[in-house]
Amino acid sequence: MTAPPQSSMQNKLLALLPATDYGQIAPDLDLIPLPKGTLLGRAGKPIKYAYFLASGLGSIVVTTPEGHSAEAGIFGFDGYVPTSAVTGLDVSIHDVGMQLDGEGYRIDYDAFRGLMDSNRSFSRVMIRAAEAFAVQLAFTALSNAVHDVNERLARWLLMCHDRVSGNEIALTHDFISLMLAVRRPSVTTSLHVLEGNGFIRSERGSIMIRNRPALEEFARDAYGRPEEEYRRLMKDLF
Amino acid sequence: MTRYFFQIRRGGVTITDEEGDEFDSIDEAHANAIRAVRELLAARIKNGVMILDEHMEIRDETGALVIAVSFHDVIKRHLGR
Repeated sequence: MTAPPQSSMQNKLLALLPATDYGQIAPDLDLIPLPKGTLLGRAGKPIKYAYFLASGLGSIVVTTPEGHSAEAGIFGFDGYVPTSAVTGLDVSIHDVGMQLDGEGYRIDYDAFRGLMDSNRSFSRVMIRAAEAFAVQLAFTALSNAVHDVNERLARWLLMCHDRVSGNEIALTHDFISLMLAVRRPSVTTSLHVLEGNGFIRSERGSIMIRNRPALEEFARDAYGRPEEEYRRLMKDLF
Repeated sequence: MTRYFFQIRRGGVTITDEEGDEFDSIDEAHANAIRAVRELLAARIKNGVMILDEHMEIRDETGALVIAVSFHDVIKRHLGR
Protein backbone atom coordinates (compact mmCIF):
# COMPACT_ATOMS: atom_id res chain seq x y z
CA MET A 1 0.00 0.00 0.00
CA THR A 2 1.30 3.47 -0.79
CA ALA A 3 1.18 6.70 1.14
CA PRO A 4 -2.13 8.51 1.60
CA PRO A 5 -2.87 12.15 0.80
CA GLN A 6 -0.72 14.26 3.10
CA SER A 7 -3.73 15.51 5.05
CA SER A 8 -4.34 11.92 6.26
CA MET A 9 -0.70 11.15 7.03
CA GLN A 10 -0.47 10.15 10.68
CA ASN A 11 3.27 10.32 11.03
CA LYS A 12 4.01 13.85 12.22
CA LEU A 13 7.32 14.23 10.45
CA LEU A 14 5.98 13.31 7.04
CA ALA A 15 2.89 15.44 7.65
CA LEU A 16 5.15 18.47 8.28
CA LEU A 17 6.89 18.38 4.91
CA PRO A 18 5.98 20.95 2.26
CA ALA A 19 3.42 19.46 -0.13
CA THR A 20 5.77 19.16 -3.12
CA ASP A 21 8.38 17.36 -1.04
CA TYR A 22 5.79 14.99 0.39
CA GLY A 23 4.72 14.27 -3.17
CA GLN A 24 8.30 13.39 -4.08
CA ILE A 25 8.65 10.98 -1.15
CA ALA A 26 5.22 9.36 -1.17
CA PRO A 27 5.96 6.79 -3.92
CA ASP A 28 8.88 5.41 -1.85
CA LEU A 29 6.69 4.79 1.21
CA ASP A 30 5.11 1.40 1.84
CA LEU A 31 2.48 1.09 4.55
CA ILE A 32 2.98 -2.15 6.43
CA PRO A 33 1.55 -3.69 9.58
CA LEU A 34 3.99 -3.65 12.49
CA PRO A 35 2.75 -6.00 15.16
CA LYS A 36 4.18 -6.11 18.67
CA GLY A 37 7.49 -7.92 18.62
CA THR A 38 8.50 -6.91 15.08
CA LEU A 39 12.19 -6.09 14.94
CA LEU A 40 12.94 -2.92 13.00
CA GLY A 41 16.67 -2.94 13.57
CA ARG A 42 19.34 -5.13 15.10
CA ALA A 43 22.57 -3.95 16.70
CA GLY A 44 25.47 -4.68 14.41
CA LYS A 45 23.27 -5.54 11.45
CA PRO A 46 22.97 -3.57 8.22
CA ILE A 47 20.21 -1.01 8.05
CA LYS A 48 17.76 -2.03 5.34
CA TYR A 49 14.85 0.34 5.93
CA ALA A 50 13.78 3.43 7.78
CA TYR A 51 10.35 3.43 9.38
CA PHE A 52 7.85 6.19 10.03
CA LEU A 53 5.17 4.92 12.37
CA ALA A 54 1.55 5.84 11.84
CA SER A 55 0.52 4.10 15.04
CA GLY A 56 1.94 1.79 17.67
CA LEU A 57 4.90 2.19 19.95
CA GLY A 58 8.51 1.12 19.64
CA SER A 59 11.57 0.88 21.83
CA ILE A 60 15.18 1.58 21.11
CA VAL A 61 17.36 -0.63 23.29
CA VAL A 62 21.10 -0.78 23.83
CA THR A 63 22.95 -3.71 25.33
CA THR A 64 26.37 -4.09 26.95
CA PRO A 65 28.85 -6.80 25.98
CA GLU A 66 27.80 -8.71 29.13
CA GLY A 67 24.18 -8.59 28.12
CA HIS A 68 22.81 -5.80 30.28
CA SER A 69 20.13 -3.82 28.48
CA ALA A 70 18.00 -0.80 28.97
CA GLU A 71 15.66 1.18 26.82
CA ALA A 72 17.33 4.21 25.33
CA GLY A 73 14.26 5.74 23.77
CA ILE A 74 10.63 5.43 22.81
CA PHE A 75 9.11 6.38 19.46
CA GLY A 76 5.73 6.40 17.85
CA PHE A 77 3.98 8.51 15.24
CA ASP A 78 6.16 11.41 16.35
CA GLY A 79 9.42 10.11 14.94
CA TYR A 80 11.33 7.73 12.73
CA VAL A 81 13.86 4.97 13.17
CA PRO A 82 16.76 4.47 12.99
CA THR A 83 17.75 8.02 13.87
CA SER A 84 21.31 7.12 12.94
CA ALA A 85 20.07 6.97 9.34
CA VAL A 86 20.87 10.69 9.01
CA THR A 87 24.53 9.76 9.17
CA GLY A 88 24.28 7.46 6.17
CA LEU A 89 26.03 4.77 8.17
CA ASP A 90 25.41 1.18 7.12
CA VAL A 91 24.99 -0.57 10.42
CA SER A 92 22.56 -0.11 13.33
CA ILE A 93 23.91 0.37 16.84
CA HIS A 94 20.55 -0.09 18.50
CA ASP A 95 18.04 -2.88 18.76
CA VAL A 96 14.72 -1.44 17.68
CA GLY A 97 11.46 -3.25 18.19
CA MET A 98 7.72 -2.74 18.33
CA GLN A 99 6.30 -2.77 21.86
CA LEU A 100 2.68 -2.24 20.90
CA ASP A 101 0.90 -3.17 17.66
CA GLY A 102 0.82 -0.54 14.98
CA GLU A 103 1.53 0.18 11.37
CA GLY A 104 4.08 2.31 9.63
CA TYR A 105 5.60 3.55 6.40
CA ARG A 106 8.73 1.79 5.37
CA ILE A 107 11.27 3.26 3.00
CA ASP A 108 14.34 1.56 1.54
CA TYR A 109 17.48 2.80 3.23
CA ASP A 110 19.03 3.70 -0.12
CA ALA A 111 15.98 5.82 -0.94
CA PHE A 112 16.24 7.50 2.48
CA ARG A 113 19.91 8.28 1.88
CA GLY A 114 19.11 9.61 -1.58
CA LEU A 115 16.48 11.94 -0.13
CA MET A 116 18.88 13.15 2.56
CA ASP A 117 21.28 14.18 -0.23
CA SER A 118 18.79 15.63 -2.68
CA ASN A 119 15.87 17.03 -0.71
CA ARG A 120 16.60 19.90 1.69
CA SER A 121 13.18 19.85 3.30
CA PHE A 122 13.41 16.16 4.03
CA SER A 123 16.92 16.36 5.46
CA ARG A 124 15.93 19.35 7.61
CA VAL A 125 13.05 17.44 9.21
CA MET A 126 15.08 14.26 9.68
CA ILE A 127 17.96 16.10 11.32
CA ARG A 128 15.58 17.95 13.64
CA ALA A 129 13.91 14.68 14.54
CA ALA A 130 17.28 13.08 15.27
CA GLU A 131 18.02 16.02 17.58
CA ALA A 132 14.64 15.62 19.27
CA PHE A 133 15.54 12.00 19.93
CA ALA A 134 18.92 13.04 21.33
CA VAL A 135 17.14 15.40 23.72
CA GLN A 136 14.80 12.61 24.83
CA LEU A 137 17.87 10.45 25.45
CA ALA A 138 19.63 13.19 27.42
CA PHE A 139 16.69 13.54 29.77
CA THR A 140 16.41 9.77 30.10
CA ALA A 141 20.05 9.69 31.16
CA LEU A 142 19.36 12.48 33.66
CA SER A 143 16.26 10.77 35.02
CA ASN A 144 18.09 7.48 35.42
CA ALA A 145 20.69 9.29 37.49
CA VAL A 146 18.56 11.51 39.71
CA HIS A 147 14.99 10.28 39.92
CA ASP A 148 13.65 7.35 41.89
CA VAL A 149 11.90 4.47 40.18
CA ASN A 150 8.41 5.89 40.91
CA GLU A 151 9.20 9.08 39.00
CA ARG A 152 11.03 7.25 36.25
CA LEU A 153 8.04 4.96 35.80
CA ALA A 154 5.59 7.87 35.83
CA ARG A 155 7.66 9.63 33.19
CA TRP A 156 7.84 6.52 31.06
CA LEU A 157 4.09 5.91 31.30
CA LEU A 158 3.42 9.49 30.24
CA MET A 159 5.75 9.13 27.26
CA CYS A 160 3.99 5.91 26.21
CA HIS A 161 0.60 7.53 26.70
CA ASP A 162 1.64 10.38 24.39
CA ARG A 163 2.14 7.88 21.62
CA VAL A 164 -0.89 5.61 21.93
CA SER A 165 -4.53 6.33 21.27
CA GLY A 166 -6.73 5.84 24.29
CA ASN A 167 -5.65 5.38 27.87
CA GLU A 168 -4.48 1.80 27.89
CA ILE A 169 -0.85 0.77 27.79
CA ALA A 170 -0.85 -2.96 27.20
CA LEU A 171 2.50 -3.95 28.62
CA THR A 172 3.55 -6.44 31.30
CA HIS A 173 5.45 -5.59 34.46
CA ASP A 174 8.19 -7.86 33.19
CA PHE A 175 8.54 -5.85 30.01
CA ILE A 176 8.59 -2.56 31.92
CA SER A 177 11.29 -3.93 34.22
CA LEU A 178 13.47 -4.68 31.19
CA MET A 179 12.96 -1.23 29.72
CA LEU A 180 13.66 0.62 32.99
CA ALA A 181 16.47 -1.76 33.99
CA VAL A 182 15.02 -2.53 37.40
CA ARG A 183 13.80 -5.81 38.86
CA ARG A 184 10.17 -6.65 38.35
CA PRO A 185 9.16 -6.30 42.05
CA SER A 186 10.36 -2.69 41.90
CA VAL A 187 8.01 -2.11 38.97
CA THR A 188 5.12 -3.81 40.76
CA THR A 189 5.76 -1.76 43.88
CA SER A 190 5.97 1.51 41.95
CA LEU A 191 2.82 0.77 40.00
CA HIS A 192 1.14 0.11 43.36
CA VAL A 193 2.23 3.57 44.53
CA LEU A 194 0.94 5.25 41.36
CA GLU A 195 -2.30 3.31 41.62
CA GLY A 196 -2.70 4.19 45.28
CA ASN A 197 -2.52 7.84 44.28
CA GLY A 198 -5.28 7.36 41.72
CA PHE A 199 -3.07 8.11 38.71
CA ILE A 200 -3.38 4.70 37.06
CA ARG A 201 -5.09 1.37 37.29
CA SER A 202 -2.72 -1.56 37.02
CA GLU A 203 -4.15 -4.82 35.76
CA ARG A 204 -2.54 -7.98 34.54
CA GLY A 205 -0.81 -7.10 31.29
CA SER A 206 -2.01 -3.53 31.09
CA ILE A 207 -1.95 -0.15 32.72
CA MET A 208 -4.78 2.36 32.37
CA ILE A 209 -4.03 6.05 32.76
CA ARG A 210 -6.79 7.38 35.01
CA ASN A 211 -5.66 10.88 35.89
CA ARG A 212 -3.19 12.30 33.43
CA PRO A 213 -2.88 15.79 34.96
CA ALA A 214 -2.17 14.33 38.40
CA LEU A 215 0.37 11.92 36.95
CA GLU A 216 2.09 14.82 35.18
CA GLU A 217 2.14 16.79 38.41
CA PHE A 218 3.68 13.82 40.21
CA ALA A 219 6.33 13.53 37.49
CA ARG A 220 6.82 17.27 37.05
CA ASP A 221 10.54 17.14 37.64
CA ALA A 222 11.01 14.19 35.29
CA TYR A 223 8.62 14.67 32.38
CA GLY A 224 8.12 17.41 29.82
CA ARG A 225 11.36 18.97 28.63
CA PRO A 226 11.96 16.70 25.61
CA GLU A 227 8.33 17.19 24.62
CA GLU A 228 8.74 21.00 24.79
CA GLU A 229 11.93 20.75 22.79
CA TYR A 230 10.24 18.61 20.14
CA ARG A 231 7.57 21.27 19.69
CA ARG A 232 10.24 23.94 19.40
CA LEU A 233 12.28 21.93 16.88
CA MET A 234 9.25 21.24 14.69
CA LYS A 235 7.96 24.81 14.63
CA ASP A 236 8.46 27.23 11.73
CA LEU A 237 10.50 24.79 9.71
CA PHE A 238 9.39 25.99 6.30
CA MET B 1 10.98 -24.64 35.34
CA THR B 2 8.39 -23.64 37.92
CA ARG B 3 6.53 -20.36 38.13
CA TYR B 4 6.80 -18.46 41.39
CA PHE B 5 5.09 -15.25 42.39
CA PHE B 6 6.67 -12.53 44.51
CA GLN B 7 4.13 -10.74 46.73
CA ILE B 8 5.09 -7.98 49.10
CA ARG B 9 3.36 -7.93 52.43
CA ARG B 10 3.49 -4.92 54.70
CA GLY B 11 1.30 -5.45 57.73
CA GLY B 12 -2.19 -5.96 56.36
CA VAL B 13 -1.47 -4.82 52.82
CA THR B 14 -0.32 -7.16 50.09
CA ILE B 15 1.07 -6.03 46.77
CA THR B 16 0.26 -8.92 44.49
CA ASP B 17 2.35 -10.18 41.63
CA GLU B 18 0.08 -11.39 38.86
CA GLU B 19 2.76 -12.38 36.43
CA GLY B 20 5.33 -14.40 38.31
CA ASP B 21 8.60 -15.66 36.90
CA GLU B 22 9.92 -19.07 35.99
CA PHE B 23 12.84 -20.51 37.87
CA ASP B 24 14.80 -23.76 37.70
CA SER B 25 14.61 -24.23 41.46
CA ILE B 26 13.28 -22.71 44.64
CA ASP B 27 16.88 -21.74 45.50
CA GLU B 28 17.08 -19.70 42.31
CA ALA B 29 13.74 -18.04 43.10
CA HIS B 30 14.95 -17.32 46.63
CA ALA B 31 18.22 -15.78 45.42
CA ASN B 32 16.28 -13.67 42.94
CA ALA B 33 13.89 -12.50 45.66
CA ILE B 34 16.76 -11.44 47.88
CA ARG B 35 18.25 -9.41 45.03
CA ALA B 36 14.86 -7.81 44.41
CA VAL B 37 14.53 -6.94 48.11
CA ARG B 38 18.01 -5.40 48.09
CA GLU B 39 17.04 -3.22 45.15
CA LEU B 40 13.86 -2.06 46.92
CA LEU B 41 15.76 -1.43 50.16
CA ALA B 42 18.53 0.50 48.42
CA ALA B 43 15.99 2.81 46.78
CA ARG B 44 14.26 3.52 50.07
CA ILE B 45 17.47 4.07 52.03
CA LYS B 46 18.65 6.45 49.33
CA ASN B 47 15.42 8.44 49.71
CA GLY B 48 15.58 8.41 53.50
CA VAL B 49 12.37 6.37 53.76
CA MET B 50 11.96 4.24 56.87
CA ILE B 51 11.80 0.52 56.26
CA LEU B 52 9.02 -1.32 58.03
CA ASP B 53 9.35 -5.03 58.49
CA GLU B 54 7.98 -6.02 55.13
CA HIS B 55 8.23 -9.46 53.65
CA MET B 56 8.61 -10.64 50.11
CA GLU B 57 6.59 -13.83 49.95
CA ILE B 58 7.42 -16.39 47.33
CA ARG B 59 4.29 -18.28 46.44
CA ASP B 60 3.76 -21.07 43.96
CA GLU B 61 1.02 -21.38 41.38
CA THR B 62 -1.42 -22.80 43.94
CA GLY B 63 -0.89 -19.71 46.07
CA ALA B 64 0.93 -21.66 48.77
CA LEU B 65 3.65 -19.78 50.60
CA VAL B 66 7.06 -21.31 49.90
CA ILE B 67 9.49 -18.83 51.49
CA ALA B 68 9.14 -15.38 53.02
CA VAL B 69 12.10 -13.01 52.82
CA SER B 70 12.15 -10.48 55.64
CA PHE B 71 13.32 -7.00 54.65
CA HIS B 72 14.82 -6.50 58.09
CA ASP B 73 16.77 -9.76 57.86
CA VAL B 74 18.26 -8.70 54.54
CA ILE B 75 19.40 -5.42 56.09
CA LYS B 76 20.86 -7.18 59.14
CA ARG B 77 22.87 -9.46 56.88
CA HIS B 78 24.42 -6.37 55.33
CA LEU B 79 25.43 -4.73 58.60
CA GLY B 80 28.73 -6.60 58.72
CA ARG B 81 30.79 -7.29 61.80
